[in-house]
Amino acid sequence: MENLFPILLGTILINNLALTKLVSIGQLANFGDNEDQTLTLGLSAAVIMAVSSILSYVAFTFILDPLGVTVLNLLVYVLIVLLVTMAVTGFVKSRKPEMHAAVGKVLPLLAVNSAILYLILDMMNQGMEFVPMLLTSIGAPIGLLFAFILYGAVRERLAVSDTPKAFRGLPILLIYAALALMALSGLNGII
Amino acid sequence: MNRLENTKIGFLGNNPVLGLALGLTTALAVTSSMTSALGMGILTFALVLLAAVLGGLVKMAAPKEALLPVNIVLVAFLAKMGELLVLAYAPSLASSVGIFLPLLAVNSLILFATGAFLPEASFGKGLGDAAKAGAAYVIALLAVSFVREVLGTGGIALSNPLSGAEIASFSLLPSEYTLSLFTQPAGALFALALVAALFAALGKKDIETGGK
Repeated sequence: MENLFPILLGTILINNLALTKLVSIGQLANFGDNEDQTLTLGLSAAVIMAVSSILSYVAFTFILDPLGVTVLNLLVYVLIVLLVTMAVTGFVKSRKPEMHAAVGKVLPLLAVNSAILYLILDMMNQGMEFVPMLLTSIGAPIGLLFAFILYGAVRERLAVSDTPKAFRGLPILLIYAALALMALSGLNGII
Repeated sequence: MNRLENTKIGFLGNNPVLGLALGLTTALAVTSSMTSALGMGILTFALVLLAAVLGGLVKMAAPKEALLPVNIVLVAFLAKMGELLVLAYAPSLASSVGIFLPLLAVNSLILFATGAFLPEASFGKGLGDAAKAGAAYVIALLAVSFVREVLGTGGIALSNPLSGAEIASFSLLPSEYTLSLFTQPAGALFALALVAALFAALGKKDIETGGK
């Protein structure tokens, strides 16, 4: 049990996929115009990530590997992520129609969020056991939600700041991401 | 991604990766050396063209609502094909980019090339846009990797991504003046931001005529 907490803390903060491996930055830099939208998108992405990584693990361990068709892994993972994204989109549509009207266009694109596929591929490459896999599937989505909220807040702040013309938009956000990454690397080695 | 609908793709202003953040994950990960940037750039360019052709054909058959899911599966299929080809013919490239090779399955540039975001565009226009975006992507990757490799290691060592044979190598900075930061992920962000700002400043006219 004693090594479970480090896995959880590590995936949420220290090895946060979006902030340290720089996956899904394209989506973090573009999605959501205000706090509510960012939160909805972040929560949806987190749920998709958690559910699809567990389903992918099950599909790989009990179907692809025993049948010897691991070459189909990428197609199966993408299909699983796609189906979970559609389910989440449907859920948002039925529970919060006004929010779906605002983010409905980008919500399905969470299926091509690279952080989600990165987590799945990485877990399968490492050949994780069930319990660490479960913890990673809980921790990493919380980390992704954290990244969504962080980037949303930064974009709101940058919108009212006086940025040099050439740096407006993506470049200044990347500079910010680099600084955040360097700050976060200070936590390396505490667990 | 709404703004993609009526944005013109350009080489300097509105560069697909430096301005519109398409395929940013790949761009950040593979630009640590010019060799891997060249290899992945060529692979992505080929996949973009294939995606544009197949996506254009899919568009004729699939209903508009199903276009995005169908195209996502199409891109995953193309990425798997690319991965298997690279593993077979360019193993050194495969080992240097690692997990980012299968991750092309969720590369938004290839998805953009299938025409999933522009359901009204014609086949020819989609193919033309995709070729332009792919070429601009390769140029951006090479520019960022040049900055990173020169500042990080002091020179360029370009080799053939397929065979691993050396094509050209030279040294610009003495090794005492190199910044190893630029070989790290944080340096990737800094280099990409600087090149993006440079491209945006040079291509200001493109952006103004392109509109949002």
